[in-house]
Order: sequence, then structure tokens, then C-alpha cells
Amino acid sequence: MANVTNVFSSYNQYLSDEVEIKEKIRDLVTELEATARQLSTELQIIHQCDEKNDQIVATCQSVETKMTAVQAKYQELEQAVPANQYYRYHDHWRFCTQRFVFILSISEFVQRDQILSREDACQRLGLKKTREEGFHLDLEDFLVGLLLLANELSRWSVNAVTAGDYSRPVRILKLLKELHSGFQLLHMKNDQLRKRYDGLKYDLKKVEEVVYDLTIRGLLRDS
Amino acid sequence: MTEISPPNERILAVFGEIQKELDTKHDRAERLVKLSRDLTIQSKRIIFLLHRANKESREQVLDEAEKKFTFLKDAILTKIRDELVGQDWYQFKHTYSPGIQEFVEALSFYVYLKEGRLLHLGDVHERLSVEPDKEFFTHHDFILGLADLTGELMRFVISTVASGHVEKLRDICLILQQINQGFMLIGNQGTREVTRKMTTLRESVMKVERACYFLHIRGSEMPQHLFAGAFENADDEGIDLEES
Repeated sequence: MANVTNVFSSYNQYLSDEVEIKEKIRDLVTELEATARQLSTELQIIHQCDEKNDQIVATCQSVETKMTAVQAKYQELEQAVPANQYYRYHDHWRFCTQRFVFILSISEFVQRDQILSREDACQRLGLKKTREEGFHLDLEDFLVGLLLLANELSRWSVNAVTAGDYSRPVRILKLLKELHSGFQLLHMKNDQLRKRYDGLKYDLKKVEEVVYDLTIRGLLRDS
Repeated sequence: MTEISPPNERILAVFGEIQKELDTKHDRAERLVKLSRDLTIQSKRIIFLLHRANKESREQVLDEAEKKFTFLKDAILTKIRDELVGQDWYQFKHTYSPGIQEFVEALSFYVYLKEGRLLHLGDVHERLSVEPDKEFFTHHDFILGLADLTGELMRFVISTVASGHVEKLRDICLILQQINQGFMLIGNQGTREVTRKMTTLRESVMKVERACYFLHIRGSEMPQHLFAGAFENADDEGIDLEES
């Protein structure tokens, strides 16, 4: 029966068309991931600096300027993905997008002492805010990026004390409390996001303990 | 432990909006899961109905099945499609994929019994009045449904042979071999699920080939129980009774 063969040869074609697109996407994502690694590595300076945080601020500013290249890459990615198929291939760029949100949110905290907003994240990555508007920043990628920030900040609070920067943990605590209060507004399913969110309370606790240690030793003169 | 203070204005602005978006997404997913469950149950019932057909009741059963397919299209599949209007349905396909697969399984079984041929993806588009570029299910789901069809064909041939109609055996053996061949063309390019089903399919084909061998050697005078031996363990392996 020739028609049986047709069924499978058309599936075969479908698969090879898909592979072609995936290869294009993978190449672009490889470059995005390399940039994300590079920028994350540069930002590790936060754990090595002492109270003079000029270097930290300078690094954050430099990171933000490097976003132009990232924006261009996301444009190319948009071209590679057929219309209305964002979520068919989204798994490919999920990871690096989360990393970029994380990177930008560190910079936002350092320079402006606040939680990165979705609008700002989108603007700096050159992505739309909603799917209706075009190639967008997936909501959960944004949220996971913020949760990655929480973990990094809790680590930073410990290292800041070691470096003699006693005000940093206080600022981190304020931010994490805000972040927590925001996440508490969300109704989550028992999915990946929920599992990551569960880590937030441990990050918060860690920073609280650091701030407590500073407080009882009278190291926070003007918190 | 710290008391969490109520969210400030900025937080409310950022996360309040996110809350609404997440809720909308989850609600839609829930509705689709429910529709998929209904689709699965109703499709399975059509399959049971088709298995009950015998020479006398064949026409009637096929008519009844046809009516049920129309009902499924109007009552469930249309609703699934409506939920996905304006959405990226790839975002939600995992919620209703099982239902689609079961539907394809039922429909392909029906088409084989009625017309002796294998269902095409184009047939499904036609039946659902969907243009190929506006489909809301994947080629993968269609192929997975066909893989499950082979299990039903196995069940069908077992009961047919048991009731003495051995002439169907060769036809079914042939189509199973052709489907198996089709999957071999795909190899492991498909999803993991597809690859898994291929192994099962190969075993099914070999069982039916063995039964054809017995038929050939011993002729139709072969006693019933020896035929049954050809399908030994057929009920345990290769047939997914409980799915999704």
C-alpha cells in the first residue's frame, strides 16, 4: 500500500525540516550562552571586592553596555523561528535567557537598589513583553532569573561581610524581602518554577542570619 | 523568622500583573487537560465499540462510530481549538496531546475497518475542518496515535482468528509490516516516545508474522488452540491498555 509509505515519508520530511530550524537556532543560542557565561564571570567580582565598590559599579555598567550585542543576537533568533512557533523551540533559549535576566538584575540591584522590572528586562534584551507583541521574554524565564539573583545575593551577603562591607547585606535583605513578598502573590503549580521558588526562603534566611550576626555585634551603625 | 511586610507599590505593580498572567495561563491549561481527558475517554469507547463489530453488526457499528466521531469533533475538538485561538498552541500541547493521540488511534482503527487503508494526516485535517497550517496538534501526535493503532490491530486479529475468520490474518500482517517499515524509515529521528513505541511495534509484528506462519504450514484446519499459541503473551506485551 503506497499510502502507508506516504504517511511516513511525509513525517520524515517534517522531522528533517524541524532539524534544519533547530540547527540554526542552536548555533545562535551557543553564541548567546557564551556571552552569558562571560558576563556572569565578570560579575563574580562582587564576591572579591572590599568596601570600595567602584569596581563593582563599573563592571555592572560595562555589562549593561554589552547588551547591545545580545539584543542583536535575539533579533537573529527571532528571524530563525517561524511565526507563532516560539514555544515549539523555546527550550533552546530558555537557559540563556534566564541567565541574562539574572545578570541584568544584579546590575539593577547594584546601581539602582531595586528589583529589575519586566519592562526594563525586555528593553535591555531587545525582547517584547508579551507574545502578542512579538518575540517576547517568557514570563517564567524572567521569574527564574530573579530567583537566580536571590541565590547569588545570599552568597554575596556572606562575602560582603568578609570584605568588610557591612551595609551590603542590609541592602540585600531589603531586596530579598521585597522579592519574597512579590513571589508570595503568585499562585504556582507544582512545577519547576515552584521548586526553584522554594529555594528563595533559604536564601532569605541565610541573609537574615548574616544581618543578625552584624546587628548583635553592633557592626551596623547606621542601618 | 522574619515577618514578611505587605508588598510595596512597586512590587505590587510588577508581581500583580504577573499573577494575573500566570493564573490565566494555568486556567487555560486546566481547561485543556479536562477536554483532553474527555477526548481520551470517548475515543477509547469508540475503540471498544469497533472491537465488538462482527459480520452482521459491521455496518451498524461503523455508522454508530461515525456519529460518535462527529460528536467528538463538535463537542470536544472544537472547544480545544477555540481555547487555542490567538495562543501559541505549542505552549499548551502537552495538556491535550494524549487526547489527540487517542483520537487518532480510534479514527485510524475505524478507517482501517471501514476502508482497509491507513489514515493520513490530511484525512484528520479534513475531518476536523482544519487547514494544514492552522492545525493545533503535531505530526508527532498523529504518528504516536498510529503507533497505538497497531496494538488495536493486534487485539482485533486475535479475536478475529479466535472466531475462526483467519482470512483477515494476512491483511493485518501486511499492514503491520508496512507500518513497521514506515517507522524504520524514521529511525530514532522522532521523539523519545516514538522510539519507545517502535520497539513494541516490532514485537507485535513478529507475533502476527508467526501466526501467519502457522496458518501457512498447517492450513485452516489447524485447531484453534494452536493458533492461540502464536499470540502467546500478546496480551501482556505491546498493548497499552491504560494510557494517560
